[in-house]
Amino acid sequence: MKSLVLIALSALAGSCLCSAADEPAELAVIVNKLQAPATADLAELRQMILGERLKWRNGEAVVAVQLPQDSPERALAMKTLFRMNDAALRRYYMLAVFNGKEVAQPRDVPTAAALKKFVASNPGAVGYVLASEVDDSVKVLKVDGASPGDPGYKLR
Amino acid sequence: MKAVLLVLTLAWASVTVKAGEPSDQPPVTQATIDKLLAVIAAHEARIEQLEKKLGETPSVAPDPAPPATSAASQALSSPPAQPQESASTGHNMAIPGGGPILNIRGFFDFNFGTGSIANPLVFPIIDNGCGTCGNSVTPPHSTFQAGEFDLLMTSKLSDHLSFLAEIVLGPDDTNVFGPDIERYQLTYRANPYFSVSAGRFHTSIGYYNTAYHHGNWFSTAEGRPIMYLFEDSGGILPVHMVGVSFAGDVPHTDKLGLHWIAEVGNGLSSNPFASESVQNFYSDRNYKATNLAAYIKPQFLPGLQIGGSWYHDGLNPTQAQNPLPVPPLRQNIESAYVVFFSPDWEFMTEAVLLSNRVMGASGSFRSPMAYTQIARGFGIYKPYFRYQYVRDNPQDPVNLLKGTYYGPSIGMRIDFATYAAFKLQFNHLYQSSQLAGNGLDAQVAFTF
Repeated sequence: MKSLVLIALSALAGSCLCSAADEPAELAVIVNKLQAPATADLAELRQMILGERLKWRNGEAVVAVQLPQDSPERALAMKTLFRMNDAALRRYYMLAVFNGKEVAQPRDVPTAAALKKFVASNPGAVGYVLASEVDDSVKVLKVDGASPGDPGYKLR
Repeated sequence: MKAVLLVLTLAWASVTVKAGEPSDQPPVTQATIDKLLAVIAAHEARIEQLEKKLGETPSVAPDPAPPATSAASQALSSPPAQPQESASTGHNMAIPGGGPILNIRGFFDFNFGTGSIANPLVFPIIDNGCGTCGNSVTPPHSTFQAGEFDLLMTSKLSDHLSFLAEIVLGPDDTNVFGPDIERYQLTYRANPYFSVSAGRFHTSIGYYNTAYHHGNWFSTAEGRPIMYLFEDSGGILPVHMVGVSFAGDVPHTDKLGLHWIAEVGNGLSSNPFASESVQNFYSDRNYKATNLAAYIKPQFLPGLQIGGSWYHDGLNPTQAQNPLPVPPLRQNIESAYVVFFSPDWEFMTEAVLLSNRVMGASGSFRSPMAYTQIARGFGIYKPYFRYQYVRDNPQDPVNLLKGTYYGPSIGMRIDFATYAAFKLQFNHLYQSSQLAGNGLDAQVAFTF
């Protein structure tokens, strides 16, 4: 009995590691299914996540959410989306406040499930999860015309 | 679930293959598999239950099926889920009974300097022509120096209305700590395209003046370029203004990121020797200073900002509170800058031309000034280099700096903690009619 469970867990772990090694992790930018636009430029998206851009093209207020600092999603986002390290990002937000600018810092949510739930419930919400975590409660935003899995997708 | 089933099938297959071999393990029956599946299903249900609980954290889970706009505004106004947000706005306090929340953030720097121009970028440069012997105000010696104790306060009064104030306590060569309300500005932000602020603010001349005005922790180098010295430290630019400022994005220029700024204010005192050259309360003339600025932040290259400004004022020294026998002047200040910040690189270059023209006379007294700074980050280490040039026309009737100052500064910034940095900077400064001076300054700058 115990050996069977061990075998099952080992096989499961092996399969996870293999898939992680074979395919690079990709971020999927998710938005509300009903309200948000379906596409965005990477630069435009960066401004929204950074809090520099406060409205969607349709006038809806942008509400950016993200996973905590120690999550793999956040690490990938720092590299592909923010293009700065955590210290620089903290300094960026503090300097914005210092300069009297209005920026809406993304709110942290604890899990991918919570993030998806938030996005599904808020029309202007935008966040990012691993592409493998996406379900049909949210819409995946095309970034520079490409979706996760497409060649040339920039958030990987 | 499908993955688990697949794994179990694979596991079952591997067990079946091995079934032909002699083994002392008991045979796996269908009942065992069913039992295992039930255990896994129970675990999955438990995980789902826990995830649901986490998802119901008040800050991230709005009420079921809320109206579209109210959900968004709820999310914006709900308390932060993580302390990261408050880390950028500062410590805050609310008085029982309600009312706006006051956010406070502090900055401080402490220095050790040695040499005749150890810290010329903060304090007045008055050398009296003695070159390497230093000057009568700050003679060459080694000294510990308190920097600026800077308290930044912000408060949001309503969705559109906010207040920002900055109080700085700092000593100068008199060794006396003096309080300065460096900024106080009430801002009404109608939308991204229009906001108006009233109060005392940093004049939008160039980049450094508004980006790193106080709060030395923000700036890579240990002090300000000479061209941006404060008015009460011998600086010749009107780096503060009391009046109103309008600003916003330009619609339909998202890709270019074009922003505009228009400012109207008192301008500096017509007498540069006044005890306070920023006219906080009393203006010695009806003529108001105006400043127009614009900058772009193109989307195609995040971190790049290019801008410029044009400032105009009219001074009348004979009408100053302490009159000077100088005819009325018209003052124009043009500035241009390019800055670029990437995760590793930092580049800033700025140029300003100040012109004072005596009314009725031909020609102007021109004072050009510029600096370029470049830095490269290697983890917590960031070496940097700055070269600056300031030529204050010696014949100018109202400028205080007088003469030419130019030379390099080289330094190293070490971010030894998240909110604290150590900086070591060497300055070599040529001064007209004087011998070149040297200085070494060590600084610890932090935010709290």
